Amino acid sequence: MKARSGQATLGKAPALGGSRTWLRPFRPGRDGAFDEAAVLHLLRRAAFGNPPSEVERMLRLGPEGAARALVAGSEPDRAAQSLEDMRPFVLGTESGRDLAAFWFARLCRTRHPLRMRMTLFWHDHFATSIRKVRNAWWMTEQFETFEGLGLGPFPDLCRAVVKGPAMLRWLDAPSNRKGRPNENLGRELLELFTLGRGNYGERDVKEAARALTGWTIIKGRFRFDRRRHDPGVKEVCGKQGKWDGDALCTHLFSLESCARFLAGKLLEHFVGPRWPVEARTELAEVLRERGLHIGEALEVLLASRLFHRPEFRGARLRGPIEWQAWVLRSLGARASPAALHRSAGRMGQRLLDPPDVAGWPEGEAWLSSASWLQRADFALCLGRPGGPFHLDPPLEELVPDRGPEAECGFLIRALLPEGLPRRAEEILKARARAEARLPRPVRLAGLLGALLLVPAAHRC
Amino acid sequence: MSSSSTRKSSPRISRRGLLGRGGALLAGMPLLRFGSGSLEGERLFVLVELVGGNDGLNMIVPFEDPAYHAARPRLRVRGGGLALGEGFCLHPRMEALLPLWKEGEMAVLHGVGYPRPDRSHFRSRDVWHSGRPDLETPSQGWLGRAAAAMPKDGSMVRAMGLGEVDLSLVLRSPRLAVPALPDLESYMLHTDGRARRRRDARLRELAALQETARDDAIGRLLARCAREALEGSERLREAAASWRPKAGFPTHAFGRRCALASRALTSSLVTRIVHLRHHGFDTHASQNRTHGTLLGDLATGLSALAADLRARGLWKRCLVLCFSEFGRRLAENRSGGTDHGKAGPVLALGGSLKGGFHGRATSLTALDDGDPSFTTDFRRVFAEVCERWLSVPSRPVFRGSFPPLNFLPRS
Amino acid sequence: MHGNDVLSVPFPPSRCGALGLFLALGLPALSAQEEPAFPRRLVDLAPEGTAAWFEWGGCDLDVASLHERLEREAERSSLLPRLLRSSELRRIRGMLRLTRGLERNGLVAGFEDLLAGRLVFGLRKEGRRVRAFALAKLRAPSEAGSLQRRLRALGLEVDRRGPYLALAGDGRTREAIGRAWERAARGEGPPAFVTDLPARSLLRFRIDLQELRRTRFPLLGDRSPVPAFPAFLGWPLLLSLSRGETVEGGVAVAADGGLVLEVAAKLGGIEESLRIPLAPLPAAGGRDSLREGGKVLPRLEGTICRWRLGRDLAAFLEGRARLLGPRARRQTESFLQSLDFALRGPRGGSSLLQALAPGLSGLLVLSTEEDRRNRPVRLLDPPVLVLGFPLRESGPVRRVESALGVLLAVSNRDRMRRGRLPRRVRTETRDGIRLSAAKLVTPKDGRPWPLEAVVTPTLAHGASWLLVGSEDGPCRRILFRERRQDRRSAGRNTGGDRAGGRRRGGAEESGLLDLLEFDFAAAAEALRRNRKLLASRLLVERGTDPERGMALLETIAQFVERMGRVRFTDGIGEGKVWMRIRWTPAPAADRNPGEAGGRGGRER
Repeated sequence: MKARSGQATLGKAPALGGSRTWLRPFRPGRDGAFDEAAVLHLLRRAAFGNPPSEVERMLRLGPEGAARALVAGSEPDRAAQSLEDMRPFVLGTESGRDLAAFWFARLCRTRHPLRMRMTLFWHDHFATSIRKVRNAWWMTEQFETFEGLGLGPFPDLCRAVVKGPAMLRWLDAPSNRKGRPNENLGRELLELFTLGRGNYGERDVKEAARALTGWTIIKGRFRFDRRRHDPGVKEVCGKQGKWDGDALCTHLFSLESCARFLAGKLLEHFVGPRWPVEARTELAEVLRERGLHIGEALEVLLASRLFHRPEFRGARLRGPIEWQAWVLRSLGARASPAALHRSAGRMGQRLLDPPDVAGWPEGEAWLSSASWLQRADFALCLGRPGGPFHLDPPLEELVPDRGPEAECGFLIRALLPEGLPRRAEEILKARARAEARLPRPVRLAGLLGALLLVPAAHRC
Repeated sequence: MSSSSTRKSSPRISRRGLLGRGGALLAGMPLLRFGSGSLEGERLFVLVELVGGNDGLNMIVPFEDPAYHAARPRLRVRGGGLALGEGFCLHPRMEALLPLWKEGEMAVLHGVGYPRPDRSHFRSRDVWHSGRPDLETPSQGWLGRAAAAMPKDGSMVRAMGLGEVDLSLVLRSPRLAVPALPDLESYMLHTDGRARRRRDARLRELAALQETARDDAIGRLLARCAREALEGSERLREAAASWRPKAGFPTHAFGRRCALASRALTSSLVTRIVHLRHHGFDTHASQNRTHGTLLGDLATGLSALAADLRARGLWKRCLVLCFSEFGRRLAENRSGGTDHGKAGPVLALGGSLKGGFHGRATSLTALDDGDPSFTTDFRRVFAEVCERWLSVPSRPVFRGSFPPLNFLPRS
Repeated sequence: MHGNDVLSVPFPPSRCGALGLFLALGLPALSAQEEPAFPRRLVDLAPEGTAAWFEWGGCDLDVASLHERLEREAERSSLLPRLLRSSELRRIRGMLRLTRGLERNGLVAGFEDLLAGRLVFGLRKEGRRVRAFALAKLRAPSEAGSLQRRLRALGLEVDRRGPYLALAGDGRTREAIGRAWERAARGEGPPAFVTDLPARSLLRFRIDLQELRRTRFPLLGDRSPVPAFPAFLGWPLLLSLSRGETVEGGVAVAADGGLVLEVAAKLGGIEESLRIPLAPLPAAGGRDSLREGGKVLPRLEGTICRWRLGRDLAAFLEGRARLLGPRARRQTESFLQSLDFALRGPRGGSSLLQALAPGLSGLLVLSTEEDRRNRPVRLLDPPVLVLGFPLRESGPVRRVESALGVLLAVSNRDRMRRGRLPRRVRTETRDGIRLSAAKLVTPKDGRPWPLEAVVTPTLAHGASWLLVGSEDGPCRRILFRERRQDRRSAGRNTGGDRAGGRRRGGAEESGLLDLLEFDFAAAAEALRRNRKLLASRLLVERGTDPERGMALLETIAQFVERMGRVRFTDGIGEGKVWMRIRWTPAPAADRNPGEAGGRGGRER
């Protein structure tokens, strides 16, 4: 269970007029400055990285405008569009690896990074592994659902995902039938997708399983098989009805615990660990007001006082794919999608293959000495000329040639504009000087590698 | 049918493990201490998998049984050259293992299989690896779960799959991530400095950078993981570089894997459990041509490993187990080979076990659809390994109790 | 010589670079000596211990235009600059710049004037090391002095005697050359290099492998670790070639226009009859499985590549104990084991092999319109691969079909486990031709056709061929064509049979052992037809933008199609083995990159 109950370590918020305190819009001046640091924080949490043009744009838009812009995204440009031409060729190999690589290729060129981030978020939330599903098309369909509906109303998303063939096979829906229930789908629906642990009982799971009988896959599509359905009355979480799966879902979405569950997840992901309990209540309220619309809730959250509080800056540990994406997008570069996928897998986040239904671990569990080794591997190989990542444009073109110390400064400013601790900067500059005689591509690759292993590079 | 998605009773709170497929990931367990000493008194375990379905009848040959000779006019092993006693002999190419048998350091466990057997490679392998014939698509292995339940020790990695890039199911566990390494080099930090001085400078620099971490929980975690990673990688590099074989390992593919196993087990503090695979046992045709070579390679490789570990004084603490996903049919087929069967013998080698035959030999007359049926449930063997060798309770791993065969000493 | 066409090759010639190299070996000069009497042949000046000799007749080399051409190409294409920045090309450009420099110094341009047309680059064995040297013969002795001065201006010192120049890599070699000169002046001693190549050949060479083997260039090693497949291809033969023989060859300009580069030529029948005897056949070893003559698959329209291997698989496998090392033997054992299993019988494999006539042939061919219509997937258009096994008798071949069923069942089980669609076999018999094709079943669960549906593994046999192909169309065409020709030649009288037989196989030389033909224009077409697929692979593996990937592929296609055609043959004749490579680049007119296609050369 990833959504831990937050502890109110921040002290009680001052009571102001109106029911909302934490999620009140961030006012520059009163709540702090909407400066470069604030924008960097916003970009890192909502997008992946901070391309320089984006920073200025966000500054101009102000906190609410920036949040809206991130949720809305920009129109895909020609590069992103020409990628779509390749889609039938890449997906036609029916290989999970190619499917994952294609996602990485799109990640590098996306003009709507929040949407890609939400795809990852939902992929973790609705964790489904290709190893059991064994059908690349179904996994593609699931990903497209995440992308298409991920920033819309949660009920639409959840229904579409849960009735998708990938999820049905993953949770053995077809073998759930009247008289011989299989509780898998029912349990995960309640525990992982909608309500969360502690908000239902074992009996609710059994009843939910009964409601979900009859859901099956025929010819690769969802079908409701009435013969297998248990038509009786079910009681789930305090209410009764002759529900089928759809009606059950409608009932679950209406529960307060559903909104709270989602709110907790969003807070954990976007704000960081140790969010205040009252914030969840507020966010849940926002969600319910808007029919559990994720995008609108995010607009509120990303522009809120809570989000911009200084104690949350740098409070999260980046996951592997997030970390890769941050580097590439902040540099404005692309890399070999297959190599990125392989590397992310070694770091512990293999796309399309979460370890089990609970998805990937979050936060501090991403890091161990072994996974640090893999991150070091990535960092040191990323810019290497002739290395597996084929960085494009290569570092020697990205970084202007003005001498080793200037190069060092350039890279630091690109990735960590807020600056490094002074000691770290000294170490890096010393290294740049010491390696001045090396060929430029090699020197730059080493510098980038070292910079990526600075502790600050792993937090956002 | 419950799904592969795991229903753990007290599961996902401590997210300490990462499960990764291929490549090297490690447990979230922080490394404890380095340097001093080895794993004193800790037991080592090598699991060898004969991939494809080994023909046990031609490995441990019931040469005094007329039914055997009648059913295999062309494939039978004649004569009792390497006699083991009780009417059995070894395949003639396995002479390298005979000394171990004579010393009482080799045990043959008869007729090991599982109920309602499946002749599909994949299904049988899943069963043997997971220890759970009741699961349709298991996602964890018995050895992985046992390793996860072992108490912390000084090893860098509790278990390793060696010689392949893919991690086998037998080592998978959500609470302990196990690396699958084609070789030990893939587990070291590769800076681009090949020259020693430059490497050291790089490492010092990286270590110095870690000191600049912010002083909060995440910062401390980052610094600690980085430090441990850098130290551990260097130790492994030194240990691996200074390893010298203490016995002559054969040069064939399996021999190389045995050498790799020795490196992993003996280069200080690396690992305690190793999984190796020996491929090629699916002999549907012309078995005479290939099976002998495979068994010969197995015997020479394992005897070299035993000699090597013995020379290091580790043999008493080591157990090697060879299994296969099924045996083969009694009768030979028309292509000069044998088809998939059901049960087969399991070989155990080690300095501390009770040698000799264990279990009941399978009958060659009372066949189960043409196959010798199993007399020992495989879970008895593995559960005994868990309880008596690895000191891990076997009940949660196998969801049941299985009486031991007593080939291992009582802990 | 000067009347020949200007030689403009589409890429930097290594000879030119090599030339730059020779002249770059700078050393202190030998003191000029008196002019003794001159030998007439350059070869008489070869120093002792010469292990390799490359004699170049010189030809018109328009360095300036070559350079310009390259620069024009670079301007036209946006991709070439990036390619040209690669380290390899930087080195080649460096050499071009050097030659440009020489040209500016009036050296290269004046080269043809000065030289009587021959230049030698040689390797000489000194102990365990190999030393290089160069010799040249000038047209007129009086010019020698000026050339020597010009070279000195570049920092090179050459030794001169009369019209002869020598450049040596070390002192000992210089002395050896001096001794050879003395000997030649006295009219004594055998020359190190003997050949009967006609004088007008552009390049002649001779390499004494025996000598070079004991140097620091390790050549082909011992045979025991040889894997099975190269052994079958003739590796043991090559190994025994290297074991003690010499290799000679020549290059000539053909009369038909365009450049023809022939590294070897066979006796008789060809216009430039350069006679290159190679090593004598090894007494044992690979000899048993060499089979000359024999059928080749016909060249269909759109053939990219066609080959024949004159090997007797059955004889090779029978002699495997003798021919192969332990590792290779294991591989062949497991191959035979799978063959036996597939053919349901312990002797299944051998009986099938006996039914095959010696020789294997193969074809890689573009698809036709009809082929494309029959495919379920249009996104890609791969060329079709066909392997042909000529048949002695067709009986045992039927078992192969059942083997196909078995293999397919095993493969399908594995595929379905991985979530892929299975394949189903459909067999048809028509006019004595039996064809079984394994097609992917139609996807029913809402998914589109996967890309692999375009491949339809096919097994087909007629009276004279057993074919295995990646699709059925070309297999059908080949077998029907064979049937037509069989019928036609059966209708003739016996006298014409031989002619018909020869025609059937194409214009083959008798005694031909192996054949490889490659049509680069067709290969470029295959590349073009599958640009999008290849661009998608570039995208996935390297992150290349699709547009850039497609442009890169188009550039590669243009480059490839200019390579024209290559034909490699070898054979046995007069107790020796000979080799021939004939390369015909696309003629100059078709080399304009703006035009599509460019399938120059004549149909043979």
